[in-house]
Amino acid sequence: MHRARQPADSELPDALVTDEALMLDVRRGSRAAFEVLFDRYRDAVWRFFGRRVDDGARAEELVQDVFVAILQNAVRYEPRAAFRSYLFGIAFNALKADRRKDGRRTEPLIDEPAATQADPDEAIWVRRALATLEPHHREVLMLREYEQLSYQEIAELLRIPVNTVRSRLFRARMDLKHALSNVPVTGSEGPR
Amino acid sequence: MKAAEPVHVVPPEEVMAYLDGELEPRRASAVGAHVATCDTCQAVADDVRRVSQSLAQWHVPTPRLAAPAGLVVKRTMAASGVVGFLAGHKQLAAAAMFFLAIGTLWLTTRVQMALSEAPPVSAPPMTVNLGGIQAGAGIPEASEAALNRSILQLQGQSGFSATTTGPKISRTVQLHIVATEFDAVKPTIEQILRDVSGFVGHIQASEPKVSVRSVQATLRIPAARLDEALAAFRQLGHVADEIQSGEDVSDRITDVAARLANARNREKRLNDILANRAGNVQSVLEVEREIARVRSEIESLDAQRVKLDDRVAYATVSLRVTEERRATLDSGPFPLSGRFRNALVDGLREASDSVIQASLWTLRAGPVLILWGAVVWLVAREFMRRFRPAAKL
Repeated sequence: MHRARQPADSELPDALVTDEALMLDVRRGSRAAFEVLFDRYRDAVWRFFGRRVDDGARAEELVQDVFVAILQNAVRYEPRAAFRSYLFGIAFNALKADRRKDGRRTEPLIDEPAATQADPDEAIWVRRALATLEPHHREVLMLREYEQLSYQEIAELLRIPVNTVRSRLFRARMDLKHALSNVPVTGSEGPR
Repeated sequence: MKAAEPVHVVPPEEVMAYLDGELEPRRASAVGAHVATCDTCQAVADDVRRVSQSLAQWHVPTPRLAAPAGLVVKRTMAASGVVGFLAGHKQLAAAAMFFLAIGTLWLTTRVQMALSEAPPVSAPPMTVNLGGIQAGAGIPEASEAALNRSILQLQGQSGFSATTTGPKISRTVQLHIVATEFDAVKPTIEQILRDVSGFVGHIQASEPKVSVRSVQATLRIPAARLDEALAAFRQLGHVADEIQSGEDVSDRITDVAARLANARNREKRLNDILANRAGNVQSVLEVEREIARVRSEIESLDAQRVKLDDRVAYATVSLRVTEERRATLDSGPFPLSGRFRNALVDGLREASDSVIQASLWTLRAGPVLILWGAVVWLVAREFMRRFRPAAKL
């Protein structure tokens, strides 16, 4: 029978096994470890694409692509950085490739993302305010606020200096504050 | 600005980094002390917090994405890249096919030459199918059921009554019986159910005047006593039709149990995070939302578990009992006197209807008939007047 986990790890409940240890198990061929990672991060990856892609089916495809890529590249995985940043790095690259593939698709489509049902009014204004930001600023802000990546992780993902991350993040927050303070009280079309 | 405010030495970006937990501990304590006494920095901090709170309003609902066992890759990475591109550019695709054919021919020749020179070797397994995913090398091959069972063995906390040993079969039987003594059928069915501790899911009795009576019932019988119950049902008459089937739901049970165990683990992990880790209000709210979602998932999976458990524990018998047909002289479903009365009433109604219709037609067509009749009469009279003297001559 296939051993799903290395002996050392099998004594620990899944909740206490780090992502990196699980990923090393995946590299050794553990399907169970992959399932635990999938369970931990599928929603986070879905939310990543759900806020950036205008089509729910495409977002689901991209989620699958990310996990397939993790499996396909597991043999080359080295725990040099947090698995979380590794995962979102793959997700970010998948998103970029998807945008490149079809030039007709507009960039993030913040104003009509995949997951918009039952949006409260506040969420609609947030999305419209985000749409007014510079794309580079917006991406840094979203990676920080929604994916909870550190400045260093964002810097590595976007291949920019940490100081640039910090300045872009500050600018994005101040611009967003300004945009949110300018939204009308009742609904008119937001910025596109 | 306060009168006693210290010299402003902290740039606003650093205040933001302090709130984000991105400063070194020593610098963080210095900035924290400064922010506590500086109105400007507090305003910056408030702005940053408010923006974070606003962004948190955009909550993305998460669909129930399939676990890896059910993850279906609709398109491979290769298909979505090269093949997908070529599909949209037919001329390029044709050129690519041409060069591919030449390349294949060249490669085949080279391989054949190499094979004729080298000893045969067995290729190592490079990929395996992992529930629809083409997994990379290094993932050992295993059946879905075996893999799911391994999850259970590792986690050991499924809480599922149907354990992983032995197949779990959901049995269904369709039975059609033609009964001679139909009046005894319903009491007998009830007695059999009492004997085997079964219960009625649905029952419908039909007693038409013009055809045979019948009873249709969906019965739930404890799986262990199904054979005993079937033997008793067969005594109701002679069996016209019987179909038995069994669905192996072991994999589904194992899958649900594994997902349930994972969800419980996740809930425990989230509760631990909530209990042990400090964080801002936004993070706490996010964790609480996630806990609520996981709890909902656990309840849904638990319901599936109970349902599957029930399907295995109780077999479903679709029983249809019809009365044996005996031809009788029968005047029909209604009394003869009533039928005569109805016929007479219908005849009178048709007669009155015909008189009314004729009257209406006469009224409607009468003026036109009179008009044209007068015209024809005048023409005929004139014609006769001219023709008659000539005849006399």
